[in-house]
This record gives sequence, structure tokens and C-alpha cells, in this order.
Amino acid sequence: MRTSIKLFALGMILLGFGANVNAQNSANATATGTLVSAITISSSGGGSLSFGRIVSGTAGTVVVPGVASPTRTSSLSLAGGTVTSAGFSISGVDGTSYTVSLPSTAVRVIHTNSSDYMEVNSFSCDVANAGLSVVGTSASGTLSGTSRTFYVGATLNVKAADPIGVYTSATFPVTVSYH
Amino acid sequence: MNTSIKLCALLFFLAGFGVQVNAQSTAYASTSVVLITPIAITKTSEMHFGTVAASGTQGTIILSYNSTAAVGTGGATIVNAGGAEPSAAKFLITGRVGDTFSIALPTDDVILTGTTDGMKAGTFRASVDGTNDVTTGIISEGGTTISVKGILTVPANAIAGTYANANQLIVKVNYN
Repeated sequence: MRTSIKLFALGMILLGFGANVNAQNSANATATGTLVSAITISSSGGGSLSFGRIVSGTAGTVVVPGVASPTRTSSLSLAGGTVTSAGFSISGVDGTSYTVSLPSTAVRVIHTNSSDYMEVNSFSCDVANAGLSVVGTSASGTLSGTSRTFYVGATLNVKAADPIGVYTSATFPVTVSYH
Repeated sequence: MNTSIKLCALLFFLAGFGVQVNAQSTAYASTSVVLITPIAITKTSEMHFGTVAASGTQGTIILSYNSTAAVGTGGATIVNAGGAEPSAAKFLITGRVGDTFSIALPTDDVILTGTTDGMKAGTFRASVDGTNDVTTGIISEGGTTISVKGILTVPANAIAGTYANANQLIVKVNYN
């Protein structure tokens, strides 16, 4: 009976410690003495996916590829503006196999002054920079070195009736995990 | 002895659990776009070189932004009395106020056809808000007017008549 109480107490301490590690990522993971340190991802270089300025009135798509300096592909009339893909940095242990998970469902960009929205889908990231072998909503690769920057792009779906104005989204997640 | 083995097993289990939780990290980004009004161009005035007289020598007539015609070179002369008034071509550009647009004019001569021979018009240039010979402009409230000028070449001994071009003087504008 006494033994089982001790076991329980020890269990609580370790659980608490484990949760702590999770909250603070790689630095604390190393402190625990576990042999594998965390792989972490952070937003890099502003981390915003911007489709720039597009002329309204026609339905179509605008593709921003997941590369450092993206060029838009579209059947629509494009009118300059800021065009960026979303940059992310992965840090972790050299040689770690990891998977990047991109949003698999559409993200809405919502008109500033109305409830109109457009959908952003088909998220992708650059294979070469991320060292990934498959691109889609999730892609796998191996970390070469201790950090890697990659870029996420997507497709914007414009409807003919979408009013002019600024459209912005809530944040969308990009998750990296190792295996 | 038995107890210590159990402890050890529990430790491993918990350590494994810690690693599993820690193996994933998520960062966030947002996305945005701006939709803007289409740019539009409307012709408000045709280009007209006025009434000119040919001679035995080829000549040129220079049409200016302010819709006046002047003799350039050679033997063409301007007939002021009773003739059609010269006029620069004018276009109204509308779109997103404050945006810059580019202007594309024909780089080749346009042929005006008459009763028999043709006449060439070329060297087209654009003026926006009083700034001459420009290739860009800015859309203002209510639209921006661009004027287009050109030079007409009058062949020697051109036959009298009306020389016109249906629609080859094409002016294109685009958002920059």
C-alpha cells in the first residue's frame, strides 16, 4: 500500500515535467534528458501569404507558388501589389525525418467591409527548400543541418461577383512533426 | 525488488509520453488579397488632322495635344477656312483612383485610306493631365483624360477626298 502511494506521487511529478517540456519546446526537451530534441517551426520573414492586387469582375484562380520570390499564375487580370508566400523555419536535429502538414481545408479571406469571402485552398510548399519528397496537404523530408526555411503558397478562388476591397484571413496552421 | 522494477517501467512509459507530445510544432500565417475595380478606357474624341492641301511635294502635318495642326515638313498646307477642325484623340481612363496605369500606343504607322491612295499617320504620343509624351498616368476621381497626338504624312499629289482609318489606332491601358 505504501509503495503504491509513492508510485502515484512519482507519476504526477513526471507527468507535470512532461507537460512543461511540451510548452517550451526544444530547450526544455534537452533538459529532460530525453535523447531526441524537439523539432520546431516558426513563422519566417513576415510569414504572410499575399496574393497582391487583382482586377475584379471575373471568376478565376490566382496561384501563388510556395517559393521565396513567387510569381503569380492566373487567367485574371493582375495589377501589381505585394505578392508573397508564407515563410516558415524548421529547427531541429540534423537528419531528423519530419512531416509538414498544411491546411487541408479551404481558408477564407474575408472582405473588410462586408461578409463576402473568397476561398484559399490547394496549399503547397517548395519541395527543394524543405527537402520534401511529397507535396500535398502533408509532405515528408529529412532535416539537413539544424534548420530549414521553406515557403507555403496556395490558390485563391475569385468569383465574378466578389466586391472590390481588401480581404484578409484568420491565421492558418502549418505543423511540423517528426517520426 | 519487485517494486523497483515497476517504478522503472513507469519511468520509461512517462519519458516516452513526453517525447511523443513534444514531436510536433505549429506555426501560423495569414493570407490576404486586394480586389480592385477594372480599368476602363472610353474614347471621347476621335483623332482628326483637319483639312489639308497636298502639293507636288510630300509633306507632314503635326497634330498637337491641344488639337491644333501645324505644317511639319514639305509641301502640305493647312486649309483653315471651312474645313474640318483638327482634334487630338482623347480617352477617359477610369478605375481605381490613385492607381498608376500604363499606356500603349501603336508603334507602327496607321494607314488612312481614301478614294484611291492611302496616307500614313504615326509617331503617336500621349499626354496625361498636361504632362506630355508619357507612357504612364494616374487615375483620378472621375477618370483621367489622355490626349493622343500624331503626325500625318501627306503624299505628293494626293487625291482630294476624305482619308480615314476605321479602328487601327488602338490605345491600351493597363494597371501597372
